[in-house]
Amino acid sequence: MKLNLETLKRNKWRYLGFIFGFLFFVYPFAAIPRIIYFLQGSLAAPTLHSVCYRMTVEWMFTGRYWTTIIVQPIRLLALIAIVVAFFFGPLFCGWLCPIGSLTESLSRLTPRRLKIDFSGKVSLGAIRYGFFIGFLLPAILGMIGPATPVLGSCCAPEASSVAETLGIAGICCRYCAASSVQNIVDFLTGNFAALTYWHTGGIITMVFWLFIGGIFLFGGRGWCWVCPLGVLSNAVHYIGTKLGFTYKVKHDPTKCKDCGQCRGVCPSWAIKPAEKSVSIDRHACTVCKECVTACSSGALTYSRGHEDVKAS
Amino acid sequence: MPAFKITKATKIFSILFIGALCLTLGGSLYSAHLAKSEILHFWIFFPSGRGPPPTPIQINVNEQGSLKRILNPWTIALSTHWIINTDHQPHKVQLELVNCTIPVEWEVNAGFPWDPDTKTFTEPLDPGEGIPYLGIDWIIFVPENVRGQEVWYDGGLAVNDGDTGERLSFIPITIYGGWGLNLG
Repeated sequence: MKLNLETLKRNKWRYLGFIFGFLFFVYPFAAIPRIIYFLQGSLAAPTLHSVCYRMTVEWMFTGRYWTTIIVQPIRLLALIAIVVAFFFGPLFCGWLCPIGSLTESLSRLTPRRLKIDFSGKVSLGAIRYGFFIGFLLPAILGMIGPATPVLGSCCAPEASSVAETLGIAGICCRYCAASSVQNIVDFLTGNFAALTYWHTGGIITMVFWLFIGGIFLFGGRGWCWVCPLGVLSNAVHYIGTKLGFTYKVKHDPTKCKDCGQCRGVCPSWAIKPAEKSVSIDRHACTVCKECVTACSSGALTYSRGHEDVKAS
Repeated sequence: MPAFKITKATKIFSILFIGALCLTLGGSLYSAHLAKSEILHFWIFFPSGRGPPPTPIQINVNEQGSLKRILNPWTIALSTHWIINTDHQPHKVQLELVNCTIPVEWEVNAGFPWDPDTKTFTEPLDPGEGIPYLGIDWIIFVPENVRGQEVWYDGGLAVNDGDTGERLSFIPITIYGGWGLNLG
């Protein structure tokens, strides 16, 4: 997958979505948090960090979320993204997310021979759900047992004795690509102090998100594998695809010419070769529709109806 | 009853799943290890005597991660998202880094009016309330003349009443900078 005029024209609405993703969420624009803060009468400066989907997903599973949304309605955005993913697929991930869209765009500028590519050969579902359980486990263990105040916790001022004994901590803030994106944009827009402080977790995140999983990965979507909102969105999308009234990318094997064009443009490694055809991995598909627009035979469509299009 | 057969695909799935799980839990352990020496987050309950007591903060740069020590050794960061009034009356919150002679940048973002000159939240914080959407980072720049010393900073964060000047709470902070120093 590379960037050329034809690709740009075919997917113009999606790439426009990338720009809107920045305008909606990243400071100095951050239109959506700005509107929410304005309606709340809050003086906080809206940034990509203030939306914080990682912390929000963690809180959904530890119970903190449902009390927090009353005072921080900005946390509803993650829930909206998940509900949308059930009915229409992970549209936020594929069309708006500034973190994924930035690295996907940069990856397109990198020559193919320099990029890591195991697309179609690995099960991203295994990696993503393995990560997700590992992401939630410390947070849930942090709720068991009597809570004691701890130093070092960003998301909550207390943790349980169990978490303390095991020596584990939540990872949502320590490895946060949203901070990296916002710091880089702040730096590029004149706030040179934004790159002053880098901690070990931030450096690890930067290397994986921007370089290994971004610029030098085919598709540039490596960070999505370890994004809790992305995993959760794909999990509900997978359930949604089993139902007829939801939207999904559908494949009609009777029209498929097995040209491999779709596999070559999928940034999420969601299309796998099958016998004289392809299969779509719902645990990875972000309904970006790159495959739909690239398919010259009309075998791939984005529509409602049941998952498998049977031969007529 | 059909015999359960482990296919190659199942094996690969299991290996990837367990690998990702272990890597993430390893990241969690490392995160906990770093949390007390790099961009340490703490909470502020005031006044003293109500709510959890302030825990003294001790940062030892020897416990920082290698990448931080190699690439960015001369900045230390502290952070809070939690300033909570546990008193029965409202207070204007004024913050002060006591005994601080080294350069510190205050990065304050809050849903509450903040005066950077007096380091004061200019509206009273009601009893039982916390400052909404709060993020304060103190970025400490260690000057060359301090870098050779065993203790880079020994002071603390005072929480004062912005109207009366009354000290409401104090969190001791010590930054140990001597390379190879073991606090046990």
